[in-house]
Amino acid sequence: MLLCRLAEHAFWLGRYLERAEDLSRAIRAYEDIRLDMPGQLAPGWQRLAALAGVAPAATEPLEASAFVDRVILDRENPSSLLGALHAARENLRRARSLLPSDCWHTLNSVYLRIAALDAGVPPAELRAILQQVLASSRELAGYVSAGMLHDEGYAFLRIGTHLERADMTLRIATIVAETLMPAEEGQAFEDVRWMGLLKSVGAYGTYRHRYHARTDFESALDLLLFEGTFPRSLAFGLREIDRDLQSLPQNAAVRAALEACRPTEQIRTRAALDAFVRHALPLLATFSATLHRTYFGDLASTLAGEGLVDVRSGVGRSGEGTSDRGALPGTSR
Amino acid sequence: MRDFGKAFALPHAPPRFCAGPILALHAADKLGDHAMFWNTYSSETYDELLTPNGLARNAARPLSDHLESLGADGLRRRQRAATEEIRAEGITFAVAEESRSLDREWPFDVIPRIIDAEEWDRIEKGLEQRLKALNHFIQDLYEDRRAVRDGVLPEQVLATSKYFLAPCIGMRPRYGVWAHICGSDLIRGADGVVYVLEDNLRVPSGVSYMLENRNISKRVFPELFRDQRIRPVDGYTSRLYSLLVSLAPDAVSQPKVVLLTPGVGNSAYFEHCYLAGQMGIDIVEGSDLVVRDDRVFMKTIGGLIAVDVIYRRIGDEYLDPEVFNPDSLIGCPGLMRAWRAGNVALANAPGAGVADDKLVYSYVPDLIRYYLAEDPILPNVETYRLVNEKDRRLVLGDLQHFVVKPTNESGGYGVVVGSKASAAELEECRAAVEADPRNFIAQPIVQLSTAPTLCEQGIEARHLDLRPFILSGRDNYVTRGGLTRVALRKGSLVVNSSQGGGSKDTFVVECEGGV
Repeated sequence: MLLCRLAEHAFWLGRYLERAEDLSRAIRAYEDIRLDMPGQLAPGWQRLAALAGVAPAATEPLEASAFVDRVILDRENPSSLLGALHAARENLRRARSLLPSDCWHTLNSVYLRIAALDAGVPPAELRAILQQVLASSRELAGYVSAGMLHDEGYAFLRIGTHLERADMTLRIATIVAETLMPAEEGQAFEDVRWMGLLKSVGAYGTYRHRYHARTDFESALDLLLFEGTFPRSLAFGLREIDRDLQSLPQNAAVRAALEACRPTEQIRTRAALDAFVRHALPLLATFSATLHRTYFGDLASTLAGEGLVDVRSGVGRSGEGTSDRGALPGTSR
Repeated sequence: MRDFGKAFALPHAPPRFCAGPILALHAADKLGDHAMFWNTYSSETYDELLTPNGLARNAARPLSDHLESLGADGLRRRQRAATEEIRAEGITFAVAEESRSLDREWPFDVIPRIIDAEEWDRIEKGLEQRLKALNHFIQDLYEDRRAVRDGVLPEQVLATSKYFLAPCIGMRPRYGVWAHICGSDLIRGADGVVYVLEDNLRVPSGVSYMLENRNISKRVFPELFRDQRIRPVDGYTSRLYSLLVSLAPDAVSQPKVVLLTPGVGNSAYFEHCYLAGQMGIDIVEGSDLVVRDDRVFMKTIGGLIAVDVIYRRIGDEYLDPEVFNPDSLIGCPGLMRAWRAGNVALANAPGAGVADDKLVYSYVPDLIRYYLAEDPILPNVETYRLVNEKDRRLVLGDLQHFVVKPTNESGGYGVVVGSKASAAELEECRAAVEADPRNFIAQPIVQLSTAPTLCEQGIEARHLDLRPFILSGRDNYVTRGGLTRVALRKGSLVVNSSQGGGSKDTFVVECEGGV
């Protein structure tokens, strides 16, 4: 059975890795959109900066170099790209024995490369680096799924990944929608804009595949929120988290908290999306807090008050049944 | 330039056997080449690779040939590859600086240090003999104190020992072994003799770096491994795991073994993770453990799991705030109760550090004779006990010719090398010795042997030592070679990683046909 502390490191490793990946993808797509839009129309960087919790004065446009400085290279902010990689690395460092050894090599290489940058990094190089973050993230996912025991540590890592992905999908969709969508509902929006929305959450190709030539906001939202076969959709993420929770002990409260995050009605408009996101993000946070309380807190001392549990031999008070301790293989890691 | 290294890699006929014009020409060229490569190299003392007349020692010939064929530039390329590898792998150690700990990349020199297998076999026996005697000694101290009664060790040494722990009296860990893992430091003097400089019986570290050094060598110098028989080092972790499992309390059929670390701020945290990962055991911190009814449990997501064996990398004084330092936040309250009740095994056992004392060290050859009735295979460095007035007067009268060491420190802290110290430092040292003579020993300054090391100016001689690791349980195991630490500053004798030392891979090489 997994140590509480390691479970927590695995969970946060999953979250921070996914945060770095999603942020990189969003920045890359956003840059593409900007390049396709003439001068005045190009959206400023400040909206996207909100993803990293950076809120510059609304009236002041955020210069590209300040964006790089604060959203990409601020190690002290765990929602910036470097900060998220740093936090992922620190969690991996403490849980290194849990994961395949190649993971460290991959994460450390990309972290060191970004840590060595300064705000003056040329756009082309920055793009290559964002690409490396995405590639590294996929590489890590590969090492983990093909090289790690699919046990509790794996479950916590995946729960962190899917939770963060759901959270980021909602945030990015609402930011990009707000920036790019025409004010009036129902008006067809230009290719570049809705492609930007889909690309920023890695959904463009999938969208094409699923909806062919359609180009409407409604079907885009349907894909991002409800499509059970799309791995970056909210529905997919919640289902996977629930599946992993089922392999963990004492999961009733966490599963209930997760269930509360599910959208109950169709979301077709920008206003509905905004309302849903405002409602759902706190629920995801509540789920995260419930997970913490259940598995990472000082659970052991709570249990100690109720009588000692030796998981390997089932349940029993200390001093009893020591002779058959360990007689049940598979009950401990 | 012709590839003479490859052409001459296999046979090593002495020059007089090289008949015929072509061979003679090659041999002459090769010697010329050899001279060119090594002609700026010089060592003031025993060199591990070259003899005083500049020829490679027998076991080092394949390496020497290879270095020549690579040339200094080729070697630098390998060094860069190695450094890159260390960076990417995140092989680090932490250095405390201004009250915070910084991770440094592990310093590694690509040129391996060579030891002849035949010599190594003898060293291995000597190390096993030594640890066997030390374990007898520790058991004796906490039991009957025969050695004290029989006058081998003065009562006074024991009474003033910082690491003798009263709560351990009367205990007898399995096999009578207290120090399961020992790292002894070996040095070679100008006379070519290998001496034991100290024994680390508390929480010796460095073995992961020995293993990683080999991994790096294999990646940057694969050809060296093809052409000669180098003993592999990677059996260590599985031997360590078997040893730990064998220490579990009797009734346990599938023991739970964990590694207890002080945490991510510890200078050896990398090693703790590495070893736990290699052995597939959990790495725990003090706060992950809890003791109930004299049994140790770890906190898991499913509740408490009993722990049977703890490979602890926390010093005795921090192990259990109930018994030792009450302010320790990294230990686990009640651990000693659980250990004394026989419900958990600790490796190394608490109190083993009593034999780590450098004053006790000076008695080890006597202890070997006393407990094993054998002559010591590996000699000690001559040691003056400053607690004895005669020794003290001799040393203090001639301080610049001695190394003065505190008896209960590690990592090279507090060591004063007389020949390198300023007048003020010598005065300070004298005052410290006079204030507390029990706490110091002195040794003549030993010119540590050297080996070629890639430095900024080229290949230069640097002083080094060797830390092999010895495991002791039902039977013994000695690492093949050990961790070679090298003083990177010219002329420096301080090899400790915490003080700017570097490292080398250590090849125990089997020679064909001997000398």
